[in-house]
Amino acid sequence: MAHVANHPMTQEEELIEKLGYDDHFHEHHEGDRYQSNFINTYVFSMDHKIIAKQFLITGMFWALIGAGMSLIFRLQLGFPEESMAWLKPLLGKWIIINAETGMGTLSQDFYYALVTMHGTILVFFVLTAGLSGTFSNLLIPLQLGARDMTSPFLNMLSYWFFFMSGLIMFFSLFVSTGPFSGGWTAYPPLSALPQASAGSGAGMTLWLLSLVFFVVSVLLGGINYITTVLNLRTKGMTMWRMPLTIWAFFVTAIIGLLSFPVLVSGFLLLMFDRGMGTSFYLSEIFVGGQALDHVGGSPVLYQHLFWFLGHPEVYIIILPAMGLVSEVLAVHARKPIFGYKAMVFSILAIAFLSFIVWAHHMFMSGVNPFISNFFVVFTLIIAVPSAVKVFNWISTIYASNFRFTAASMFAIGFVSMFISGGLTGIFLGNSAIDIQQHDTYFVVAHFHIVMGVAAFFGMFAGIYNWFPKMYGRFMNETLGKIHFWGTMIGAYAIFWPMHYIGMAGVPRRYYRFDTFASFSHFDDLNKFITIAAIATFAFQVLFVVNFFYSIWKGKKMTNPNPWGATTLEWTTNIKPVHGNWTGKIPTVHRWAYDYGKDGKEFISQITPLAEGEVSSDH
Amino acid sequence: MANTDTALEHHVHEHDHQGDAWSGAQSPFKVSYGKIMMWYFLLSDAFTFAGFLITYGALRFSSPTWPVPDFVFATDPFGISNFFGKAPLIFVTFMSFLLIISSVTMVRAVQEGHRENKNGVLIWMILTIFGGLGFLSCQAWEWTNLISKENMSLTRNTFGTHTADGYYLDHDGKKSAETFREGESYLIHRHAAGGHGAEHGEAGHGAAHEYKAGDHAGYMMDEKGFVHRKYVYAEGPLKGKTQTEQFGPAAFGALFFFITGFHGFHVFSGVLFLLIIALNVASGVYVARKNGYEMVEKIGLYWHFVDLVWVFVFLVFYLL
Amino acid sequence: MRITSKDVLHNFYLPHFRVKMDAIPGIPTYFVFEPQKTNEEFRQQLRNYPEYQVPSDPKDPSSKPKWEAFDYELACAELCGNSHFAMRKTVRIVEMEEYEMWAAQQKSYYLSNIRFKDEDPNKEKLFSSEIETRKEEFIELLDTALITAKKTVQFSYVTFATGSEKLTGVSRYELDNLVEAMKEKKGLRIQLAGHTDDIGEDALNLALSQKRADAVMKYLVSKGVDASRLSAKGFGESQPVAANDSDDNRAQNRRTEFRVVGQ
Repeated sequence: MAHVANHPMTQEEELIEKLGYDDHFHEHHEGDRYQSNFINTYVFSMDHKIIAKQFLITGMFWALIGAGMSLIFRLQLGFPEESMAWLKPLLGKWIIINAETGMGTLSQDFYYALVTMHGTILVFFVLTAGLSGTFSNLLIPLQLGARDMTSPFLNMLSYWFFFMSGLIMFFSLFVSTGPFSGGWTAYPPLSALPQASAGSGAGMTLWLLSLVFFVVSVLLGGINYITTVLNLRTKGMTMWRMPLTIWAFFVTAIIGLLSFPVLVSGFLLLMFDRGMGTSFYLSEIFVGGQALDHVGGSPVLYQHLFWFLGHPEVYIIILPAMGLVSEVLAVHARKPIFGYKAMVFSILAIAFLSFIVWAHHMFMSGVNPFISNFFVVFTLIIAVPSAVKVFNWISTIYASNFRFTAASMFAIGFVSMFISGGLTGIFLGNSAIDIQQHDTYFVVAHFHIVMGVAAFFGMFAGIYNWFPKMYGRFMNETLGKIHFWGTMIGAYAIFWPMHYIGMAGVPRRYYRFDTFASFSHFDDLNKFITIAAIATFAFQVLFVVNFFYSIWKGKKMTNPNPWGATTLEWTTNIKPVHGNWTGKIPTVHRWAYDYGKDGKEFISQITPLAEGEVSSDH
Repeated sequence: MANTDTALEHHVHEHDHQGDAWSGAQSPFKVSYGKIMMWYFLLSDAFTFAGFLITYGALRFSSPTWPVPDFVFATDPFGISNFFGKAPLIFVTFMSFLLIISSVTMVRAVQEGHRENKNGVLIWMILTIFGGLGFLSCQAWEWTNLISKENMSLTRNTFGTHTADGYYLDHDGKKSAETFREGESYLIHRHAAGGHGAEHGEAGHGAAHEYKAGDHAGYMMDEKGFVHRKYVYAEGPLKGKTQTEQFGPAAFGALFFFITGFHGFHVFSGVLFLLIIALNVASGVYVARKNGYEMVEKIGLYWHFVDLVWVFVFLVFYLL
Repeated sequence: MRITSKDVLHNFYLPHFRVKMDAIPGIPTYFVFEPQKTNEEFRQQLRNYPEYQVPSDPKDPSSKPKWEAFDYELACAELCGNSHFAMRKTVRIVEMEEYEMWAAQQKSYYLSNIRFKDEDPNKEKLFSSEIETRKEEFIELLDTALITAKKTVQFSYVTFATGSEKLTGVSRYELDNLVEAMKEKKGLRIQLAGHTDDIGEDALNLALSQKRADAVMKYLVSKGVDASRLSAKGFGESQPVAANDSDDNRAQNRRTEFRVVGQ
């Protein structure tokens, strides 16, 4: 340490000679001063691999809570007549026991709180932080040949802001008026007036606070991912040699960086409306017959600000999954990814288009139908790059010697889900059809399949595929395949019937359907969905068990490159050290998809071009 | 010619060995990661401000009237404007000038940084800090004036605007000599606060008269002590009808305090960071790090950004 | 269909017609749609299906069959608080003729909900159509009174400010009707009578009723009716027309009337 400070230049040159190029090696190779004890090795770690695991496990925790909530409200929807008294020990006062019959019913307030929290947790905590946070952190430095992120410190902060955000949200579950209950989109006036509903008080305040922390986390992470991809690619790693995973994470980070700040603007204005009496979103409102002072605001304005994030957000969720799937499919098909450049350009096109389609969430919000036309057109254009990707995935696995593993099966499952959900998206993107489908179960089915389940499939593919990299052991393949089939069939069993219910016009976010003759005749389907949901959840528990069992007891990895992949992360030790490569960082000589080339099964990116070999680079 | 050849040769030489800028093992823009991070942070912050300015636009254009900035921001301390012959925006012009000048001094600080001139960096940074502090003080005065003298708040806008030509009534409800034009703004005074009307060019209004609460022929005093004067429109659909001054759109006050406050918060944090970095410069940390005062460059980027945002804020609140 | 909201966002949703639109506080929205089948037509159509032949209430076998109980429904499709799921209203689609008949009988929102309330800016005056109807009403009352034994007409619209003899603005219209009638029927001589309810002291009530009768007389005289044809008397609470046991009855007892004493 000391002599470094005294002779920085010579030391630097020496290290470059020994270890290869590194933008800030001095932060990593000084005898691991960041990993001197348990706390800064595993808790306040600055190692991207540990931070990735922290994101993953926190995400899994939230996924279980979020999915558990969905089971409770599915029970209410599937079996409204059954007593829920047995949930009393868990939910306390939110289960109302009828003194005479002993029948326990779920409180309406809490039903809406559950729906809201389910959405918030899954969208933000699980599929944004849990998915992109995990794999961007794990794979960006490893696949680019970097020692770590550009700023490991900001990277650590990013996780801990996420942790704080989660903690605040967790606290909000326990306030006496309940967590926020106005839907994950938090439309004012319901969210702006603390007196509007039980959850709009303290629950909403904590919700807002939590999400502001969350955005800070996303921005810190995103800035890191972008700069790492730009600055820390190893020698020879041109942009066109990067695996598609990195392209996806890179573009995701850029989308996040541009859309989340607008959400913060919206939230800050909302906070002022709540706390300072301003009227940015409020106008002509009566509470208990009394007119409030608020005039001149517009609730639709919030919807614009929200969906300017909200729509890119679904691509923030799905793009990393697409990247993981592209990689997993190519590795297990033992073929180069079909149309690499087309894949990259579709990612870029999707990213660009995602910013100019937000109002398709607002066709029924009283916006001018003429303006809707533009958003319809752009929305439908997104189908083009999406279809390019789908065809390329199919072409990649077409006529290949496909290796069916849990990871690759989930990747195929992703493609299936993405097609099914994407097709219904074409319905919904049309403002005329949306008049009927808006806010019905058709929408619920659509987005759960296309960005919920599909993103989960991408995440599972990623976990099964890179688990050996993370823990040096394999997850149990048999359990993994059972998990796949259970989830695949289960997810379709849950969401397929919802399309029918939705087409029949049943609105989402209803506590009970028996108040309407039009909506009350789907009891059997609702029961079926609930049972399917419980079964699917059971398979996820199996996954969690498999995951934690395998961390300590899984089959040990003996081959450092078990899948025969070309990318750099498999060139490290079985358990990569802090700084990733013990010696010099590798130099890259070819793109990431040299599978089956010149009679070889695969050629690692670090292998120099053979005599007379034609580069397959783009 | 010889020079050009050498440069070309040098370039080719580099290409052979390292490939192009994007080939890895170097920053494609020859920029350190820290500066890229700052650029991306500023990009995202620009989106935050864009969100606010769009909100401003949406609310302003859905309001039937909007106060005239020349009237609202006509005030200044120490009677400065008297030297300029009633220039309405003179004070805010001075404020903006301070901020822009502080950007110039920041450029000088960065330049001295490139020259590795520690004292130069320090001097110019201190000047920049003074610029920032000056701007903040001006803003503090402007806010104080608006809040305590003109009774603006987040929820109340004391500046209303006439929608047609007409004339005012005097205290007894008779036609007075005071007339107004369509689109002119007025300020509703709080009687308890004493006459402040003179500064807004409302001669003949204020001090002498003893206002009483309630609805009177020439004015209406509400329960909070605001005196709403009565006037008559000389044209338009309301011609000949007696009207009472109403508060202007509340969104004006809310947006003004919110957006200039958010910008002021940026300036304030900027000053704090400048201060910290100036201390680091003085202690010679950057000399030891041998990174060419990169920190000064980064805060410089931030400072120029804040300055640029002010140009937009200035545009929408004071000029349009 | 014009839509607005007074509290939070709602969504005006007609599931059978596949239409919906948000209801936004401060921003009215609208949509236009043309229903094709009336409730009755649709019920007849549903009648053909066996699943609509069952009783509408499964617990009560004698309830109307499902097809007959059918109604078009109106639901909310935007999360609006905890009873979001229960915001049900029904919609009746009828033939154009039936609608027009119904519409002809409806008063406007202004007339039925705002008129003569405190927030009505025109509560001190009548519109010409109202003046017409009230005039006809008054003439009929007077003509009826002239052929009955009591010969008494009770003013329907003459009211005073509470506790005083100051006539309210709208009272003058009915009194103007009387003035007109007096000018037409030259021989008509009347006694104006004031009555109160039993609240307050007897003496005070008596004095007040006298003052009110005088105020009416003063108004008539000011309109050119010869004072010799008029007299005014206050009866206080001595002649109730209903028992003073409820607010409604007391309101009936607070009245001003006149008796025809010669024609």
